Parts: sequence; C-alpha cells; structure tokens
Amino acid sequence: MTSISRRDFLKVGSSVSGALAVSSLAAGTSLSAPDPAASLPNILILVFDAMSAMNLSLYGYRRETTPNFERFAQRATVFNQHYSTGNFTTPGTASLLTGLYPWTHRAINMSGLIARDRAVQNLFRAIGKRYNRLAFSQNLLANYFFDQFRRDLDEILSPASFSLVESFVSIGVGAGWMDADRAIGDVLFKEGYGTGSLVLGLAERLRRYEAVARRDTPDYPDALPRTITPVFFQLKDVFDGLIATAGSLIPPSLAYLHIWSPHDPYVPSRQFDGAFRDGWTPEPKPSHRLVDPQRHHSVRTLNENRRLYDEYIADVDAGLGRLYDALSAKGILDSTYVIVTSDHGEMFERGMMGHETPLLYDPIVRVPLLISAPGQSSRRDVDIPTSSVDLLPTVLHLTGAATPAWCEGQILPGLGGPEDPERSLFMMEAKTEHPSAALQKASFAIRKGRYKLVDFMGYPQYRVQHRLEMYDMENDPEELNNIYSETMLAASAMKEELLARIDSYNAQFAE
Amino acid sequence: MAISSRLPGRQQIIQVYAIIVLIIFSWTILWLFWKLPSWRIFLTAWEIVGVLAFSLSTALGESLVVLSALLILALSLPRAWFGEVFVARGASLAATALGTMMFLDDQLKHEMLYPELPLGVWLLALPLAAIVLIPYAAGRIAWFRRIVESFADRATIFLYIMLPLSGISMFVVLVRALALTLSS
Repeated sequence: MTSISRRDFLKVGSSVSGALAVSSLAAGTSLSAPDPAASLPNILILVFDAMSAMNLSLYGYRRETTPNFERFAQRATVFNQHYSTGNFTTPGTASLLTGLYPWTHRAINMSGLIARDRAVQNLFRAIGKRYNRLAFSQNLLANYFFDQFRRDLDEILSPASFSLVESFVSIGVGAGWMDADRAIGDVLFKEGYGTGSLVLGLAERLRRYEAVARRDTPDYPDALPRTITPVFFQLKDVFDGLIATAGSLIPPSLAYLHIWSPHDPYVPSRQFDGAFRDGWTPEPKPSHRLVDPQRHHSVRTLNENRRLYDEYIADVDAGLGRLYDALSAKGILDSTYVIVTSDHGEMFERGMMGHETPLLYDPIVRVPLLISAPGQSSRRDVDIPTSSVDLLPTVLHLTGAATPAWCEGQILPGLGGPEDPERSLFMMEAKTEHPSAALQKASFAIRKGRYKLVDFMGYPQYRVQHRLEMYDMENDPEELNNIYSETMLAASAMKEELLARIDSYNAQFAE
Repeated sequence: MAISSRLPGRQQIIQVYAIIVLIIFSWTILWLFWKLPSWRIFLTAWEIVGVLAFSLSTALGESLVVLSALLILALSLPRAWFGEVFVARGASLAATALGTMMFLDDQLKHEMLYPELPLGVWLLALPLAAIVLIPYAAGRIAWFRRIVESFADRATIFLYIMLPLSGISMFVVLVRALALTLSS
C-alpha cells in the first residue's frame, strides 16, 4: 500500500485551490531523456540570495569568509567586477533569467512580474527543448517567474524542498497556479502580517510553531534558518538536496537552483556562530539621506549584523565546499558548467542594513560570479566590469546557441565574449513605481570603466530632480568621495547616456 | 430522537452563520485590500480576480467549518445549555473564538522569534475565559441576549452579499482550473 506523506496530506486537505493544484502537480512533468546523440554539457546555476561580493574573502574581504569559494575558484573563471542589475530579488533575478535590464523586463516591484510580452524571452525557452530544464528557488519571488515560464520548464521543485518545516505556500508552486500562489502566499498565509485565512492561517502558524519548537536540530540551538515564506531549513539539508539534484540530472540539463542563504535572517549554524567575534569594525561611513529614519541603524547594530552575515556566508561557503567535493568525486565537474552567482548584495553601512533601500552602492549590487567549465583546471580572473544580463547569452553561447536579438547582455569576456572595459553597465531600483508608466522616482547607476555614476531621481529629500554622485572605483572602491564636480567631462557623458536610457524608457509611456 | 430535531431552527442557523461570515470574510477582505494596491500595478484585472476568487472560496470553506463546529456543539450539549439559546450563545461563541484567533494570529506573526516566542498560559487564559464567559452571559442576561440576537439578525444582510460573491468565486476558480488544464 502506498503511504501518504505529511506533505501530501497537507496538500489534499488544505483547500479547494490547494487540492486542485495538487492534482495538477500529480499529473505534472518529470524529466525525460532528450536526444542521446547530443553531447551538450550540463549547466548548473547556483544563485545564493543576497550574497554581496564585498563580504567574500574571494574578493579580498578582510574576514576569511569563503575559503571554499577560493578553492572552487582554482578551477573557474572569476569575475571580479560583476554587477546585478537591481538591489533586490525581483529585478536581479529577472535580469539573470531574461538577459534584460529592469526597465525592459519591468519586474521592478516587490514580488512583481516580468512584462507579459517579455516573459517568453527567458533562458529556459532560449535554450530550448534540447535541454532538460529544472528550476528551484527557496525565494518565492523567483518562483513567481517560474510560474511565468512554466511552459518552458520541465520541472519546478517546490520552494519547500530540502526543508525541515514546510509551508502551505509550497502547495501551488510549480503547478502553474499563479493565482493560488498569490492567494496563498500574499493573503491567506501571509507571513509577518495578518494571515488572510483566519482559521487555516492560524492553524498553519500553530503547526509550524509546534514543529519548530519540537525540532531536534543541535546545529541550531537558538533559531533555525528560514525563508520569508516561511520555510524552516538546515543548510546541510539544502546542500544535501543540491548534491542529490545535481547527481540526478539527465544530460544535457539546465538546472537553476536559487538558495535563500545568506539572505536574512542571518542564522549561522553552531559551527560558525561566533566565528568572527574578532573585534574588527570597518571604517564607519556617513549616514545617507535616503535611509528611512525609522530604519536607520547605529554603527554598532550594523557591525553586529555584519558579523552574523559574515558567519552565515562562511556557513554557506562550507556547504559549497561539500557540494564541490561531491561534484568532483562524482565526475560531474568534468561534464558540467557550474555557475555560482547572486541576485543582489547586502549592505551594512551608511545607516542602512539589508537591501530594502533605494541605494545602489557596490555592497548591494556587486555580486560574485564564478564559472567553472567542464574539466577546467586553473583559475582565470576577469577584471572587466560585467553584468547579470550577460549570464543568459553566455549560457546560450556555451551550449552552442546564438544570442537572441532581444537580449541586452553580451557573452562574458573570457568565455568567448568581447573584452570591452569601457562598456556601460546599468543598475536601477524603482520598487515604488508603476511598471507600465514613466518612472518618476527611482535610483539608477551606470558603471563604465573606472567610474560609477549614481542618479537619485525624483526623491523629495533632494531639491533637484537628479541628485548625481560620481565615484572612481579604482581609487575609491568604498564610494566615499563624490567626484562629480571634479570629473565633469566623464560625468556629463555618463549622465547623458544614462538619461538617454531613462528617457527612452519613459518615452514609450508618453501620451 | 432524530438528529434533525436536536438541530437549531433554520432561521437561527442563518443568523449565527451571518456572524461567522461577517467576521471571516471581513478579515480575508481586509488583508486582500491591504495587498490590492501593489497587485494593481503589476497584475492584470483577471489575475486579481483569480486571487480574490481563491481567497474568498477559502473563506467560504472556513465559515462552513466554524458553523459545523457550532452545530456539533448544539447536537452534543444539553439543549438548555446551547440549542435553546443557539443564536445568543452560538453567535457570541463564534465572535469570541474568532476574535481570539485574530489575537493569536497577531501574537504569532513574528516567527523570527521561534522558538523563543512565549506561547504561555497567560496568552491563552484571558481569551479562553472570554470564550466561556461571554457566551454564558449571552444566554443568561436578557438584555445582553437581546443585543446579540438583534445584531445577528441584522448581520444576515451580509449573507446576501458574501454568499453570491462566494458562488462567483467558486465559479471563477473552476473556470480558471479548467482553462489551465486545457491549456497544459
């Protein structure tokens, strides 16, 4: 007799929508073997949510947070100036998966979606059916995109996979039930606020409370890592799941695996808890005018949370080390491109903690990127600035496909793309703006060569429509000295280029 | 004795159900409207209708579950305790129990604190006392009973709004399920 798991039981018993979603799941897809004649490499994309390159010892951070990243880098191409296009999951992930800038894909709001006419322009469709295409994300914001791409994906793993205590929110994910996902995730079982489902929502909270309270997890004596959904998990379980998933891929496969950690709450396991109680404090930076006074944090709070974040990164790093060893032992690295990156960074400076901010300084937009080619045996460094929109054309290139005309990225240098140090890269934040209207209030940044220009547009805290800041990233990587007025020539050219982009975006909405 | 004869009258059941529907649907709609402004800017009207439909269908299911619980109580307890004063005690019991759920929901929303969050006796004692005492008083004190019954009677107007809305919601859920099944 077939036993029914607790999760199956939850699915069946939850609601009409849940039950219908489950039936769709049950009849859902599974990986099928493609043409065996094809000799295409596997592609494994690992996205660690909210991982700032600035906090990785791989990139010169003072604390030894990532010895395993450094080990992995010994057989990878390391991009030392890689930027996300946005400063939170929605725009950053959308750019990774579409090769489009946020003003084009328009997933600019918290839990927003890619524009309907752009949703077909995604990595999974572009790589085509010659690949088995699998997606997993612990972050529901990315799962909303998977819902949009569901016709282009062969399998979507539940965000509650590899977890200790799952959530009702996982019920509809992957089944194409975007309405159910929204209803469950945003209303009925909304976390951090009231649950729209008074009876079931409370029952679900009590169930999780009881399950978490009774857990036997000596690695986490105080609190468990959790997502915002919330799904409670142990990092070791997640990495075990990743190892199993990577080991079970039928070649050729494209697997996009989006891991919550080191996103807040910063919960290092016992092994890393306190690992960086070294007394080190970075040079404090002046508070920024755009930091919400109610969310302004003291230097002490920032440093304390930076330490926890660093310890959490070290924990993730240990997991990556295990994954690396497992892939290596199984010979998977000899047939697979392994790509390690993030959707955005995190900051602990200028009074700001986390990534809910209009700011676009490097800690929040500069992210790691390492790409290990099959059989690669030495490290290669790329110092030219690159962007997350470059991932899609690069992956296509590595699988022998051409860059689509709609893509705004280009093949990465070092992997077949041009080496253009003066190329312009863009970042933006506009989470309060309407995605189908001209932008009124937003932050933009353009990185070109050694300079970075930041434009805070339309903020009432400034008397001008465009508050501009210019930084020399070679001599001032901490972005402390605004040299806008001293570099008028370069700044004006960059400003014109940026404004032309903004105007071009806004023009399509002009009446 | 037949079970149906132990059940409260139809009109009494409707009045108690009206209180349940008023509270549960109001709560769901409150949180729907809290999210609506953000959905409005990136979801289509049809998608928003879909989310509303799923949410209201769930609310309908919950309201029926709560009503069923009260009817089971009416069948289980001596008629003099509950069945004979079903509107007063049923409506007040539903209101205090659902109010307690709102209170607990608010207490438990910060799951970041798990497992340290104190879900102690003190947190439950007062609401539990209210759940017992208020329905008791509603059955014993004439003026209180009149107020509850009067309120429950007036609340039936909400059934004329919420039940058709729920019916439409169920229909939308089914149509969208069908559309999804056919398109995949």
